[in-house]
This record gives sequence, C-alpha cells and structure tokens, in this order.
Amino acid sequence: MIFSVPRFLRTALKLVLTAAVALPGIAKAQEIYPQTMYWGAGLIDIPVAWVSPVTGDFSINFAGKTFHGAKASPGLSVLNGLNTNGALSFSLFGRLEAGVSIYSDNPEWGLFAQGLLLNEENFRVKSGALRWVPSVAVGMRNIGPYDHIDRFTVGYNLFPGSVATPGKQHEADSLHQNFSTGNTVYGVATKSFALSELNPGWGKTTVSLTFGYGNGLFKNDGGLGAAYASSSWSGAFGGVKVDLYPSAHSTLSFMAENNAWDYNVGAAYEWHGLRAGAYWTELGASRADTISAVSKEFGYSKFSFTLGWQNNVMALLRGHSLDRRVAALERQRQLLTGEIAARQQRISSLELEINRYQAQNLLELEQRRAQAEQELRSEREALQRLEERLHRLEQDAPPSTTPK
Amino acid sequence: MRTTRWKLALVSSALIGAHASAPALAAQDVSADTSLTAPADAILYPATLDFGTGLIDDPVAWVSPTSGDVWVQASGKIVSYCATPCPINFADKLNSNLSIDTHWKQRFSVGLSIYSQNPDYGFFGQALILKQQPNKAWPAIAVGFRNLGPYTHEERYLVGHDIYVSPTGGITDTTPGYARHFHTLPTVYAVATKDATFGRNSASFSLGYGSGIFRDDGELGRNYNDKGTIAKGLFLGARYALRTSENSNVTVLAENNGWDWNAGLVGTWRGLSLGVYGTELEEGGKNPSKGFLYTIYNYTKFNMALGYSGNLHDIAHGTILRARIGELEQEQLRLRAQIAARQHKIEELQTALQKAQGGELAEVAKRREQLDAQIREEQEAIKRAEERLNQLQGGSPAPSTTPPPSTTTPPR
Repeated sequence: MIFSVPRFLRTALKLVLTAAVALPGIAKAQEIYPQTMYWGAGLIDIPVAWVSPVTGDFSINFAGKTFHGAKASPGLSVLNGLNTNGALSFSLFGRLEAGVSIYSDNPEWGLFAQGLLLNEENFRVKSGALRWVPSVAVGMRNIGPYDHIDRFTVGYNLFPGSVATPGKQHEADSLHQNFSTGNTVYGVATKSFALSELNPGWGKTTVSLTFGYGNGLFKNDGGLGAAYASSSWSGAFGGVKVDLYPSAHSTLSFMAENNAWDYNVGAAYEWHGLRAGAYWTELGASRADTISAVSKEFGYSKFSFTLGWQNNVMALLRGHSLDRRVAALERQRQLLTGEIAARQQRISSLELEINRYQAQNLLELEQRRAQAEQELRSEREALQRLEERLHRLEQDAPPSTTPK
Repeated sequence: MRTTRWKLALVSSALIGAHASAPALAAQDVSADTSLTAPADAILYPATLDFGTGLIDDPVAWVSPTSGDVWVQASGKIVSYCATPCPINFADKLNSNLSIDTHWKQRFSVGLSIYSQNPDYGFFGQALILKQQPNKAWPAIAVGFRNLGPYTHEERYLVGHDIYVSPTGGITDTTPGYARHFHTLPTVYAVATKDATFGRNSASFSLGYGSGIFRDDGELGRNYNDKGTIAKGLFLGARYALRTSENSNVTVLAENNGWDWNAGLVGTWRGLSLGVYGTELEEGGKNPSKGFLYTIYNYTKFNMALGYSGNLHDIAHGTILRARIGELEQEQLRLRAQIAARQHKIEELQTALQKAQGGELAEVAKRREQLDAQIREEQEAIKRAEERLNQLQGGSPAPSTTPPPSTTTPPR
C-alpha cells in the first residue's frame, strides 16, 4: 500500500483541531505522558524529558504490533501476526524513572532508565524568556544481555541447549547479527505549554514538543541501510503531542513523531489511570514489499496498540498514605497562601507609608516656605522703611561737596 | 506437586479489579473521603491458606467493614510425598494455591481459589447473616460455600484432580484413585464468631459446622486422617491480634479444621502479609504405619503464605490522589515563586522609601538654604542702609530693625 504521509498528516491535523474545538476545555494543571510501546514514559516510541512527579508512581504497559504474519515469516512465531511486549516502570523524586521491558516470553528483557536534569515546571513560574526553558533529560535503553535487538525489540530466537552449552540458548538470528543496540544512550528536551498561556481564549488544550538524539536503538541500523528505514534522521528524533481533556479525570492525546527511523502517528486515551493507545507506525515504509527478509519485518506500515495502567504504589498499600500526603500539601498550601497575604499586606503598608511620607514632606516644605517668605517680607519692609527714611534724610541734608 | 502461575493471575486480577471499581469512584472527591475513619481501627482478618479470609483454614463469621476490600494470597504447603528422600527440587514438593477474595457491603464476600495451574479452581463465598452488636451477647453468624465449580473430587489439600498427557498428545483430566470417593462439590458451612477488643488488640473465637471438605473423608478413614477430629464436620478456632503500630499487626492463630489442629502466626504491614503455619500438629512425623497415603496425609506440615490486602476503591482513587499531589506540588512551586516576587517587591519598596526620605530632605534643605540666602541678602542690604543712615545722621546709631533670628527648625 502506498501511503501519502503529507495527506495523512493533514487529515490527522484536521481531526485534532476538530476535537480541540468540539471537546470542552477542562483545566488540567499538569502535563502527563503515556507509556511508549516498549520503554516507559514518552510518546509512541520516543522518550520525552519528563518523569512522573510523584514518588512511587508506577506504570504497567502491554503493547502489540501487527506484522504480516505467516506470509511475512512463516518460521518465526514472533512475526506470526503480533509481536507483544510488556513493561513495568517506577518513578522516584520526580527525577528518575527506571523499569524493565520484556521483549518476548522466551523471556528476553532489558532495563531502561531516565534522569530528568532540568524540569520545565521550575521555570514556568519565572518571567520573560526563562519561562520557556524546556525540560532536559538523559536516559538509557536496552540495558542487559540482548545487544542485537532492533527497534521493534526483535532479534533473538530461543534454542534448546546442547551438551556443551546446557540450558536454553538465546541467539541472535542472521538478520540481527550486526545490530549493536545494548546500552543505548540518548538526550532529550521537551517543552509543553497550554494554549491558554499564549492566549487565554484558546482553551486548556496543551501541546508538547520534543526533540532528542541517541545512539544504538536510535542510530544503529545493523548495516541494513535504507531497507531498515527509509526516513531515518540519523539518530535524531522528535515529536509533538496534543492533549485534550474531555473530563476532569481523562485525557485524550494525539501524537506524531519520527523515532529516528520512521514516522508514527496515533492517539491514546487515559481514564482514571487506565490507558489505551492505537498507533499507525512506520508510515514512510509503506511499500508492501515482503519479498526480502529485511522487508518482511521492516518494509511496511504497521498497526500497534498499548494497554496500560498508571498508579502509585502507596495507593495499593493500606494506610491512606496518599490521602495524608494530599492533606499535608493542602495545609502547606494554606500556609503559603497566608504568607503571600502577609507579604501583600506589608507591601500595602510600605506603599502607604511612602505616600504619607511624601505628602508630609510636601506639607512641611510648604509651611517652611511660607515662614521663610514671611521673614523675607519682613526684611523687605524693614529695608523699605529704612530706604524711605534715608531718602527723606538725603533730601533734608545739604548737598555734598565730595563727588560720589 | 503443582505450582501456580500466580504472578500472572495477580497482575490480571489487579487490573481487572481496578478497572471494575473505577466507575463508582469518578464522582468521589478528595475532601469527601471518609475511609480514613472507622475501618482503620479494626484489625482485619488475614486470608486463609486457600479460601479467602478466616483463620488458617477455618472460615469466620466476618465480612470486612469496608466495601471493596480485596485479599490476594499465595500459599504453599510442603508435602514430602516421597517415601524415601526426594531427589526432586523444592518446587516439586510445594503444593501452592492462589486465592482472591473480595468483600462487599459489609455483608458478602466472594472469591476464586486456583488450586493448580492445570488449572483447577473453585469459587467460594460467604454471607454474614447476623452481625455482632455492641453490648449484646450473641456472636456474628455467617453461612458460606467452598469449592463451587467443576471439580467434584477435591479433598482438603485440593489435589483431587490432575491432568495427564494422553498417548494421542492431548491433555486429559484425571482423578487419582484414592480421591474418587470424595464429593465436596459444593461444600457448605455455617459459622459463629465472637469478637472482643482489649485496648488496641482484639481476640475472637469461632465455631462452625460444614459438609464436604470439612466432613467428607472419601471413604479413606484413618488413611485420610488418623486423629484430630473433634466431631465430624465440626471446626473451631481462635485468634489474638496485636496492633504493633498504626499500620502493622501480628496475629496468632490456632484452630481445628474438622480434621487436624493447626497453629500459626501472621504479620501484616499496610496490607502486605506473611504467614507461617504448622498444620496437622497432632500427627507428628511421617510414618508408614499411618495408612497407605502416609506420604500425603497424617504428618505435620509446614505452610507459608504471602498475601496482599487492599481496597479496590482506594486503588482506583489513588490515580486521582496522585494527580492531586502532582497538582498541589506544582501549585506549591507557583506559590513559592509568588512569595519570592512579593519579598522582592517589599525590598524594592523599602529601598524606595529610604531613597524618598533622603531625596525629600535634601530638597527641603536646598530650598531652605535658598530662602535663607535671600534673607541674608536682605539683611545685608538693611545693614548697608542703616550705615548710610548713620552717616547721614552724623554718627548717632539708628534703632535696629533687624528681625530676630529664624526659629525655623530644619526638617528631620
């Protein structure tokens, strides 16, 4: 199937704009991100510079990507229609996310982690250009023994052990021998904002923009070249997410990205921590070529989905820790609001004092000016009297014989 | 023995439970949450080894005071079924089970017990028909059922059904010969429980009667149970629960489950529990003289249970609370920024005030100097005029017309 990316993007954009207008804007103070297909929080596949802000937040994610099944690769069950993955991640201190991704039930797996270096929320409260500082994060993917997986986390087969090597053996297949994606490192920057920040009349829809660069899974094509990906950005990746809020506890996200290899678009809906996503991936690879071994896996667009659950560990445990935390934060908010009121009162008091002082100075100055002018008038009157007397004396006196 | 894939079931059930309970919570408000009060005082019963809340194996006439409470428990009983020392590993000697129990409306509980990964399973449930009342002598009374499902021949260890791979390659259900005369579907029972509190601790005694699993010996007689039965179908037990902290407690349990005497200890922290039990305590060691099933029955066994207890409403509500926490933390940032901005404004105003004070003083002094200079000039002119006058008058001094010095005080 030949697929026109620009036409699709136009259609997607129209859908997003239509939904943004049709859905009521409900205030949402905080940007949240869904789980990627394989690696914790992000868009569809790319990471974002964001970590869930509450310590103990966790996500469980199940993802599936459709392949052309038996027609594509009759010998590999992983390509027999659906490649499924699971991921579990936790966040700590609003700065660190770490988790495990399960690539297959053989089982093959890899760890991932991300650290948030700069949090845009700390700059959002500042004025001027500083408030547009983005979040910045660095992270790692595929930490573990499976160095040859590709971007779909495919690459290994399981073989029975031999006398020399007892136990089941995970071996990279011939297509993936040259991949080296272990310990993938990336850096990413994300800026999010509500449209209302630009114009209060534009509603609560939020937008986030992400750009980053990575090696390994983002850059290593295993020597397959254009057959692996025809829309490669050579390690750079980027994406955009638009969030709409149909209700107080739900979020509808539209996403578009290039994961350094190809274009992906899709939408995810979150309700009470439960999330479902549907994505169309590898849009640039829509060539319907399933002849070569490479094309059987990579050479066509695919449908993907995710099902996930996000919550907090303390919500699972008894003791109402989260309730207490909310109550404590509410109390702190009251204290801070009180401090703001006290400072505002001090400001008013100072302003009043300045005004009063200025007014008093003016009054004193006027009084002193009047007193000085009175003294001056008295002096002038005295002078005038003297001059008049002098004038009279000069008239009565005989004319002087000495020249002046 | 068989080991259950309990992790898969645990995650699945948690997801399903959270999903199912979420709609009822959509309208809940943080400030309206009342779950912090009454139930927090009660020490909840732990889950039994196989069938939801109770003692070690016995049910109790109790349903959680908080609707939506759930117990998930994985338990294991070590059954050394080898006549000689077993060459096989620990997992093969562990009869493991998984149970999920839910409590609703302070009256009903219903759950699922998975006996093995074959899988064999059975439902269980209970209705609290009479609640214990303060200042009343009568106990709480409940009726319930166990092993409701397709597995007729389960016995008290729930190993009465198995599977085997048939020569044609299919998997077929089978019942071991010794278990064919068990008819435990369904098991029904009635139980009375009297609770008492001692400060922060509590104690209870339960007495009940049941059919099926509590009574049916599958025509095996002493091969199934050598000793320990008080009366056929009669079971009883007691617990003493000590609250060790706000979120933890330790429960001591002892019972007779209709067949044997059991005792154990359960520690619980925030709903996570670990229980260790000795069962068939009256039997002693394994002995071939105790019937042809002596490798399975009639010797003391060690049991362990790992459990989780939570509330489905709280779990679903957690997503709202964590979002609220995030919002409040973000708002705190904004408020602190506002405080900093106002503090800055205060410092600016204080500086402006000082500058204004200094500036006005200088202005006033300057103006005064100007006026004083003018007055001095006038005084000089008067002095010159007086001198001229004196000269004209021939040297006699003229009366002074100079005004007294100014009494104006400089501005402060």
